[in-house]
Amino acid sequence: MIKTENLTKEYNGNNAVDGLNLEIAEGITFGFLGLNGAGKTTTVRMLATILDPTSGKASVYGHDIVKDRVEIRKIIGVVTEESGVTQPDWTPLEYLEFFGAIHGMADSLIKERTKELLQMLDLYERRYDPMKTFSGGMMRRAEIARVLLHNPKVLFLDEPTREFDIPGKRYIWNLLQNLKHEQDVTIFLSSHDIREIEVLCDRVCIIHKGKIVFSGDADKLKRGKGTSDELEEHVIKLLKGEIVE
Amino acid sequence: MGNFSQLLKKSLKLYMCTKWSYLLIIPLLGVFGFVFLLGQVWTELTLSFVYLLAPVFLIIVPATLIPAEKNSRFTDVTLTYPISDRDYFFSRYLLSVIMGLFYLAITLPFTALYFAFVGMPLAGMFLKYFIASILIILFISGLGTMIASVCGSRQTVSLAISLIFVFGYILVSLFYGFPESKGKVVIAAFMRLSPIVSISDYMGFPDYMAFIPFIAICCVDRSISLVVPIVSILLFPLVGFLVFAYLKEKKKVIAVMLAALSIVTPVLATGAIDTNYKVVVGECRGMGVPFGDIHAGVFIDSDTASGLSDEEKGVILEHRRKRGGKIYSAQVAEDGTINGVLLVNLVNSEDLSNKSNIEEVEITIKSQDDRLRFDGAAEQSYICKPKTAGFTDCNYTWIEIPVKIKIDVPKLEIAGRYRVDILVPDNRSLSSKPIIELTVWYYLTDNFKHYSVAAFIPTLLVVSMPLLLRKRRYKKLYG
Repeated sequence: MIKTENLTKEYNGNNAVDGLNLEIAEGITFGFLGLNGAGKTTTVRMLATILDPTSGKASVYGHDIVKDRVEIRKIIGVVTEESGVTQPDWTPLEYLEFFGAIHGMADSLIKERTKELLQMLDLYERRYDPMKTFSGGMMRRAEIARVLLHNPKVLFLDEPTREFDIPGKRYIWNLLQNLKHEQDVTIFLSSHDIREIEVLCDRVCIIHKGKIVFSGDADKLKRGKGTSDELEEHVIKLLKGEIVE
Repeated sequence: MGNFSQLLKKSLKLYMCTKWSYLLIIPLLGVFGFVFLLGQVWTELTLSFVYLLAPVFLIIVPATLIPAEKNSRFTDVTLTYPISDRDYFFSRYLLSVIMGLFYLAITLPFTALYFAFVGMPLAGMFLKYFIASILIILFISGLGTMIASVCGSRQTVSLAISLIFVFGYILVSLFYGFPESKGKVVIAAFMRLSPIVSISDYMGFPDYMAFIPFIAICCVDRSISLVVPIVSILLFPLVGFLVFAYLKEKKKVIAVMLAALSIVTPVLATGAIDTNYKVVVGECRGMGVPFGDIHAGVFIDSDTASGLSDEEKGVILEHRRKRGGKIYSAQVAEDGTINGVLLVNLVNSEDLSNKSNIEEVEITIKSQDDRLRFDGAAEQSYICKPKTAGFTDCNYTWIEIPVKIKIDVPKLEIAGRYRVDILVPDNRSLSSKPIIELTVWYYLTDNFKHYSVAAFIPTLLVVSMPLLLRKRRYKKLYG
């Protein structure tokens, strides 16, 4: 499980994340919503051990995000919000081989998983191509392949379907749903897309200026909103901090 | 430790096998090929090549690894894998060191062969080269990695790389130097590490200095040298910063190569300036003379003078007296000696048009400068017979004094103006005050051209080869 206690990150006197308290159970998909600059990415980066908090505490599966970084890194997979892959000159094979190796996976396992994932994500035919020749969606799929390679227990996904068209989004949604159901993976999903949250998430948290303005089950968020438009309007008000629940 | 070694091993494999950086071997081989082909013709130039080029590559290679890897995103992503931050940055450091050593390993056999080839004291030179290279690699890789890991952002990294170039070159200068200079040349070499000076050198040396406006630039003197280091230190980070800030990340490789190019060319030009330049006495004139009668004399190389008739010499002097004609020069030898002929026009108190026999006169030349000597003495007397050949004005004669001048100044400080008194008999005088000024400047045209070509072609190859190879790879893949 993931737990935060008064988690705070300060930049130049401003709190990007301000006393965040979360408790995310194992095996659920947790939707994390917020406008640009609300503190979503900062939260993901802190939980993924990339960034140190200014104050407060957080743990992932009982491991402290500051003291037990390496332990946390063994069980997580992180897709950052940036577009593209980190090494566009590499081929998907090289990319997955590199990250599999630094995860300590055996060569044979890397090969097996790489083939499996590239086929599953429809990249196998392009396995020898430098990834800079890929479309945005293909690069995103390569990133997803990278994080799935070592069968993580927790996935931190920062806007994972941003570059996808509608069929592509649906494909990834199905994949994430399968992961949750079949492998009991906990998914921390940061997104702008209300539809994505609606389809995938069991629990939702909405933050505004680093503070939680809504936290609860997805059903609670949907309750009383008969149509998608009504839900969207309500979520927008929450995102803007106009209402707090 | 397992993940750490995997990270290092895989990074290295990817860099050695799939990245473009290995293509730096091409210019390295190209330049050393150039060295071997021309080593015997231009020994000094070749030596400076070895001294300058290998360190440059050793600086560039680790420095190019850093921007390729140390973008914050790759670091961020890699740091979500089970490896500690310390191990990650240490692996990057080791990677830079290993790549640096790889290039050092390539240069060493060439260097050893070369030193043997030119008969240099192998043990000392080789050891110095080897130790200095390793120190440079360790220092630069460490500095780059440290700065990059602390700063993270792309722009800051580029700034760091620029600083690495500058500090790296200081280190190279301190460790290397040039054998003949006992370190004195080194500082000046660093001072000239600037595109500005390279450009001005290039522009400033038309044949025989016929282009008067450039003469001030041609005289590379100490005042320029003082400005250049300041400009260099400010310019390199600025250029690096701008290049990286305005180019997209995917063009990073080109940006890095541009940065590399910006350092290779001036460094090579520096080599040209500092090691194989010709120093000439380009002009010889009277001091403080009234307008219209400015040139009291011409200083011509003895070889050139021997091929000229009296008539031609007279015409040259006549032209110079009227501020026209071609400027002649005499080359200053390595030991500071100049063998030349001083042509000085004298004004006579009588009309010599009907006089066939002009009596010999004793001319005394006296150096005003402690550093300049005539045949070993500060003062020399010469018996000369005045001539009128080539002159149209019958109140003038001219004399020809073969002089051997020795300027006792280190090579890089030789440029400047040296004043010489000319004492003439009472019944004749110079056209103006009896002081002439010998201007010594660096004359670089030939060498600079060779260096530029030598630097340009391999650099062009480096820039173009990754693109060409990638294209081939795509073609192969897509049939």
